[in-house]
Amino acid sequence: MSKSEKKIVLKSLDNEAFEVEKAVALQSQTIWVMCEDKCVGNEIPLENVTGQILAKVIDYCKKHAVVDGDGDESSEELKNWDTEFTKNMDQSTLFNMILAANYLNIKSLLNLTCQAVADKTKTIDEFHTFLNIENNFTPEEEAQICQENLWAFDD
Amino acid sequence: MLPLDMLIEVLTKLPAKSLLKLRCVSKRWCSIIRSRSFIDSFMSLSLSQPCILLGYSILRGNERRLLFLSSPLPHPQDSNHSSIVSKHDMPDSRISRSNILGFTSSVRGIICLSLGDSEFPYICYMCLGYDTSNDQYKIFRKVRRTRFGSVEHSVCTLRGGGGERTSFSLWRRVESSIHYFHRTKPLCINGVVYYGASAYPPTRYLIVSFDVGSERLLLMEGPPKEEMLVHLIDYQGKVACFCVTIDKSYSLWILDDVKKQLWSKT
Repeated sequence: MSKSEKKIVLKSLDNEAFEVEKAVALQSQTIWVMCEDKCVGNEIPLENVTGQILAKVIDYCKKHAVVDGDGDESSEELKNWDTEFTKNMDQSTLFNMILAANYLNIKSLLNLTCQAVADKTKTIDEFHTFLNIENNFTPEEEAQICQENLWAFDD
Repeated sequence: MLPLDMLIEVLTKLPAKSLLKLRCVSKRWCSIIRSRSFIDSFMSLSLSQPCILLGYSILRGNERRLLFLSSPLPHPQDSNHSSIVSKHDMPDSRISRSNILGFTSSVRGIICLSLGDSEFPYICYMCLGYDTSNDQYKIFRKVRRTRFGSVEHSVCTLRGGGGERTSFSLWRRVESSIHYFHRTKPLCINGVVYYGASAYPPTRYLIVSFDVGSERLLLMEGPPKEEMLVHLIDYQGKVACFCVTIDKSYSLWILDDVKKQLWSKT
């Protein structure tokens, strides 16, 4: 295989181009299917992902392409890397990462980012903002639901 | 703002306690969280994570109180501290001193307790089982009328989704003519309840298996009696017997093939 065949160019929504190893990009099932079907050349346009998010996705794929299949110690290291990776992302970045992981069909990244959002959302108020919805229960109805599992509310 | 399917994906990763609170957020979210499909995906995710549950009772004056500890914490962000134990206080767990309270087993997050009266002449052994193919919980019990008398087995079905809406069917008899003494707490794997038992002849332990779906009771040969059978555990979906040997070391017998009753020792 020549050098050019091993590399692949991913192009973001805002026309930013990233040249990556094929093994890195193929962690995305979506890209894998595109390559299998030979419906694309060496350059793949990704219309739903911005350059800023794509750069992060590629970081993740690079890390996981190298370490996968190694022993226990590296899987521990990988887990720590994952934690650090999402630790300082704000909510909007995380949301965009979830959308990108879903579009590119990278299951492990989708799990990681969904878990990060779940971990960062704690109180009922945070959920109201996060789910972007109004409470449409009457106070009586709300009290009744609370009553069903009182133990969940005693922090 | 995330699309609905992504939001649901996030919700499956929350601790159960947060989900119960979340039902108060709106009518729509309440019905999503209560839906069968959501419960199933939440369940399959949480069952895939290893967890230890310890139950114990303490006596204070004339009252007995139940306490539960689980490890690791159900919150994955704390997964680096697997030694941290989460404490679950059970509401209304005070029981009078004269009652015998047993923590029998836990199945899919439901803890099964048996409460008997020490004055009661029967010797009763109960376990909770989950029938995976019909999505049904059943209680299986063994009753012995006298100390060395014959054993009767029966089963009843739990109806309703838990809580106050739960009701029980009548007890149905399970045919068997087996004579044994149970030795371990029950374990439920893939729709079958197992527990360790001993019987005559005394060379090997027996493993009693009760298929929750077909309600059939079977006996299998277990580990040899040179070792002491302490506990049954779920070892990657297989039944394993945790045993203590004569020289006080431990061994694990794994049931590799249920049909051929093939055991391997580690």
